[in-house]
Amino acid sequence: VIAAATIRQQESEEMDKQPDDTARLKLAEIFSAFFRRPIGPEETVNRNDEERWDSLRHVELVFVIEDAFGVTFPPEVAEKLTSMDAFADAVRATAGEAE
Amino acid sequence: VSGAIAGKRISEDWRFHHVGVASPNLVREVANWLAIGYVEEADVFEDPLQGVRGVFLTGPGPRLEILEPLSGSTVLDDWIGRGIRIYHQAFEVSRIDKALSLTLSVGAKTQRPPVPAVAFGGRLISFVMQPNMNLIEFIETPQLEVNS
Repeated sequence: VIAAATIRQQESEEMDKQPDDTARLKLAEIFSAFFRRPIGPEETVNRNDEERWDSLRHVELVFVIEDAFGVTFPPEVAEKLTSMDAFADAVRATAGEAE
Repeated sequence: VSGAIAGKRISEDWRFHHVGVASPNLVREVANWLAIGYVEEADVFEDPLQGVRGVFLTGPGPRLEILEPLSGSTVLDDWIGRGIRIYHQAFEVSRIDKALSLTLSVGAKTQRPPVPAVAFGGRLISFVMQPNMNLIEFIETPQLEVNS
């Protein structure tokens, strides 16, 4: 009984984590393609550290991520998306608002 | 069709000015356009704020703004690196704030907020990108309002 409960708890935890993990994986794929290097889902990617993340690429990145997740970031949010973590948070928040 | 009608309203007071051409070497680039009938419309300009040196050409096609990056500037690297030469089209507008607000209302995003540009005697320019990655430059030209 304890073993079954433990498994259920683990499954429940996995279910809770899954949407975020899936979003992070998808973001990592997009960032890897964008910056032409392998980027893992847990990696920290900041605009200040990426030579290719200029104002032009920023707008393109915002459009690509909006398209991939079916969301729209208002301008005041989009300009503050200066890291992969920030994008992950914004995707979560925007998708949450839509539900 | 209704979208097209609304779109016409957004751009009804825009006047086409040029297409922008990114090049790693201004002299070599210009020589190629001169060879097919373009001529220099004005002197070469340098804009440290934009990080570019450029020249306008007129000829058998639309006016061209040929640009090369100033030393140390990376502003055109991405286009040049991707092999994209013609990378923006520019329109004169009577009020840049109005043009920005209207294009943003149809999904565009500001790539560069208004800044004074050497190429246009210090008039304001701004860049917006549409979701299809079409890059548009606005050049504020207040006298257009009289004509529109």
